[in-house]
Amino acid sequence: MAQAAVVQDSHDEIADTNTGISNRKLLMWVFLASDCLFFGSFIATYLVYRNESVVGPYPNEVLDIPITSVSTFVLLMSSLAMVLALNYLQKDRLGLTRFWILAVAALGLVFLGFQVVEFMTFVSEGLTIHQNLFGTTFFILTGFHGLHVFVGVLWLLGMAFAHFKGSLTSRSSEDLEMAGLYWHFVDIVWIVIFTVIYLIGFSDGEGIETIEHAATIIGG
Amino acid sequence: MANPISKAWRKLFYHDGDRYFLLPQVASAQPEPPNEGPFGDAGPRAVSWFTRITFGGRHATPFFYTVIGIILAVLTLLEVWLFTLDDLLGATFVPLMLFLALAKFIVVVAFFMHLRFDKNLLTLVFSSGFVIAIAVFMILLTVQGKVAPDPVIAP
Repeated sequence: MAQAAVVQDSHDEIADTNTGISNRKLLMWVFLASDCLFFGSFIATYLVYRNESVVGPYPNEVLDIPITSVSTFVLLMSSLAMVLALNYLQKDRLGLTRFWILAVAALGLVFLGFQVVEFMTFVSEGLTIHQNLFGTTFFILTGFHGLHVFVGVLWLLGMAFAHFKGSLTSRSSEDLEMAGLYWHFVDIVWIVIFTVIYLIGFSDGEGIETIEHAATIIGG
Repeated sequence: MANPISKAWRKLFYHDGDRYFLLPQVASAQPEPPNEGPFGDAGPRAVSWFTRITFGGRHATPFFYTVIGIILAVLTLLEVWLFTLDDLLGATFVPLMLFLALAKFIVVVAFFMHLRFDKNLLTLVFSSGFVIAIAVFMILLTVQGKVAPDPVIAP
């Protein structure tokens, strides 16, 4: 029985489609699945060229785990704020919805601020996108992630604007749900990046190019 | 109705056709009581508890999501703490880190992205993309010799 049964919680909605899922939501999930491939390729490329740089700076010389841990925490908490914003919108508590949407956007901007400072520090230490394989793969991966965060912030500010205009209500909570799905995806990508590039890759140093080069490294 | 543990227990140890141990047919070998077995009804109770707790999101409260957020924060702190012990952990460090990252990934996808509460088709769609990504990832690493690197031959 296909019918649009709009109830308090949008997850209980049965859309008037073959699958019972709204087309927009299905499309968003397909997009996120494809984005897994996008980021998966960059992460794989990073790992392929891991420990292959033959000139510095190397990961163990530039990565700052305490600072990145704080920015990771900020992004995680922004995900919590996002889900709270959606929850309150579904319950028609519009004041709290507005607060949490703006909180997500603010936390996203804080995360971007951390990333800009990190990039500037790296550049000042001599690590640019052209410097070595670590620089190229690192900046491309984290740069594209930062771009995703930036798009998410713009999207959320648009949502906040729609909210101020009064066009975002519990009836249209799916609009915010789409933005939320995108935002959480950005968060899970960072969970992987933080672990693989920062925590696991922190001790990476000089790459070994040739046997003679290896002998040079071993010989000090 | 017997739970899976009882069924497995009965299949192994009770006379039910030509099973492994041909015990005599006694009252205790009958399908009742439903939760007979070494752990009583612990299995179904645990499943019911897990379902109730994790399906709380159907009409989840902010408290529910806050608890999930705290769990994520604790997992992140645990990761960073383990990072400081990498010398001590040795070869277990990388698998442990990947396990914690996977746990956080699943928690966010299941609860914040609501896959736990949504239709299974969405889980299928997303996990398909994820599995293909991992497959491409592994193929690339294998082709480039990163999974099983070529041995260094001495000159």
